[in-house]
Amino acid sequence: MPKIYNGEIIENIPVGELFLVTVSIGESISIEPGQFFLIRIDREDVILRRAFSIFDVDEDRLSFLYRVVGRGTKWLSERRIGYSLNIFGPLGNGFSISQGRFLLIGGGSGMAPLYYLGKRLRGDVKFLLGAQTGNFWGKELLSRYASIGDIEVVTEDGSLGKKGLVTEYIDTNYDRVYACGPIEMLKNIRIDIPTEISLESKIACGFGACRGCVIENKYGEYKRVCKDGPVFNLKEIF
Amino acid sequence: MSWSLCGIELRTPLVTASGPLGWGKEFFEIFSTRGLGLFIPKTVTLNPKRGNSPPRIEETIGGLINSIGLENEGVYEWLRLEPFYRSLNIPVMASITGSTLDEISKLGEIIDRLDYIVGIELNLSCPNVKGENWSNNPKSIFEATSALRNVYNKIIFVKLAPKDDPLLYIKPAIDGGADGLTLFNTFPAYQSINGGLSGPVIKPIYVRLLKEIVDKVKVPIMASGGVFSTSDVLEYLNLGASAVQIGTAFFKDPDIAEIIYSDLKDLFNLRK
Ligand SMILES: Cc1cc2nc3c(=O)[nH]c(=O)nc-3n(C[C@H](O)[C@H](O)[C@H](O)COP(=O)(O)OP(=O)(O)OC[C@H]3O[C@@H](n4cnc5c(N)ncnc54)[C@H](O)[C@@H]3O)c2cc1C
Ligand SMILES: Cc1cc2nc3c(=O)[nH]c(=O)nc-3n(C[C@H](O)[C@H](O)[C@H](O)COP(=O)(O)O)c2cc1C
Ligand code: FES
Repeated sequence: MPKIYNGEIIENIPVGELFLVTVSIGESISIEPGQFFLIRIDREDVILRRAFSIFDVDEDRLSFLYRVVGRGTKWLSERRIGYSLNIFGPLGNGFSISQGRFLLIGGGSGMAPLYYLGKRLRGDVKFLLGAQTGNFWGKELLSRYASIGDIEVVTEDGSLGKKGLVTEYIDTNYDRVYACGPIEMLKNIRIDIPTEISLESKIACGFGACRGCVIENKYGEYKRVCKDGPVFNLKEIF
Repeated sequence: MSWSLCGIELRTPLVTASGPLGWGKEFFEIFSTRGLGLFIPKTVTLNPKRGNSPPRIEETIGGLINSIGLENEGVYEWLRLEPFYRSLNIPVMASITGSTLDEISKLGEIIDRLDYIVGIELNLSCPNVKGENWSNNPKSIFEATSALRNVYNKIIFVKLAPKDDPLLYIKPAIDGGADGLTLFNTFPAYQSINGGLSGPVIKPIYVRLLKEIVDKVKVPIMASGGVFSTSDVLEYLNLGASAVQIGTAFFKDPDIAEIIYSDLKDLFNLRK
């Protein structure tokens, strides 16, 4: 069951062009990879909580990997150690967990949910990560991913790893593919292996009540990103 | 402490505004009714409604624009929630609308038979068949309210849009048989999407409109618009509202009713 927790910040540091925040919630809870938390932004002019996928779980410590894109994430990046973050979760349906050979594709900050997923999968894990430039990740972050699976990076400017888009480098020698990233990237995954994707939308309630976050699937049905997702089968969406 | 709304006993003056919490199932799976006096589910229509195409929400500075478009599965699905509504330990008031008078009467007839529903909030702040808001036109307000009054025997609250010269729209609701008023629904706005603005930004406008009419209106009023804190609730109560609805604030603090109510309890105990 999702709950509201006070998460005391024990670390909030830049990693490459991203930030990594870790909070301690004082109890250990069960969270599936791909689930998300809504973090309250304690500014009177900000209404909606901001959604972040779980990056890592370590006993009572939860981490989120995020990119500063607007006033909410900027506010978050300025919180210091000891600040009590009001977080609500875990919410949504996570990725399926099984045994086998897996390809985990992350575009930009879409890599966030893949770390905990990689840790929880049983079998061979390969990360295929894409960004505009090599500076995006920072060395420590990449080695953290590399510690739990094979890793291949692709940059648009070719400054690190292969040059181009991740979708040009997908091979199909896997039992299942998991992907998170910009919608254009997800649309261009054209493979016949079972593929699960994590989608984004503006989130209001986060628990399926308000119908604010719906997206249209390929059958023309509205699906709630927060409750029916954020993880969907690729074939159901595109 | 006990509160009364047209004879309905409320244990607190805090009411859920129709919409943000849907029909309630998802919310009350996670949170209790603590702090709440009355639950009003999202507006129900006779037939299922698909709602507007996404994106449906957009945040402004201090506000939120929504264009959900009344997505709901229709009254027959809603009726299946009877056991759930019976299991809540607070009264439930239905919110309905229709695009024709006939739809409103049909809904009224169906809900009139439900002993677990204490009344109806008639949401007139959404488009009718002609694509206009019922609440833009005093004559339509009168007709819609009368259509419901003719078939429905319990409490009717009419929920109106925020408009200048509020009495012009309030009078026909009362003449049509409303027992109370919910003032007001969202404010029309645009920022990348067209929709209704809610949240703290609208409150000063709504307070001004209410101030104009509270002394002239005899029926109970539920205030709605921008309630985010205990002082917002007190402001509306002091103005003369009988109960106060909370909507958008549930997105920031899903436990907002509990938080505000514990403040209210302290305050009212002090005063005694
Ligand atoms: C289920 C879910 C999980 C997410 N997980 C992560 C994560 O792990 N790491 C991470 O960095 N981000 C994640 N996001 C995206 C994150 O929620 C947004 O970046 C954040 O809400 C932006 O807030 P802001 O106030 O900084 O930006 P705003 O000022 O609100 O917006 C700035 C810009 O970002 C865009 N934007 C705002 N909200 C979203 C959104 N939800 N999705 C896409 N674009 C948006 C706006 O259109 C605008 O261009 C997730 C989103 C969802 C729905
Ligand atoms: C997402 C959302 C959905 C809403 N849906 C409805 C609805 O179905 N029926 C209705 O009468 N009002 C609806 N409203 C309006 C609210 O009930 C309330 O009157 C309005 O938002 C102003 O109050 P607030 O600032 O506390 O949210 C909705 C508001 C929001 C934000
Ligand atoms: S955000 Fe309310 S239903 Fe998804």
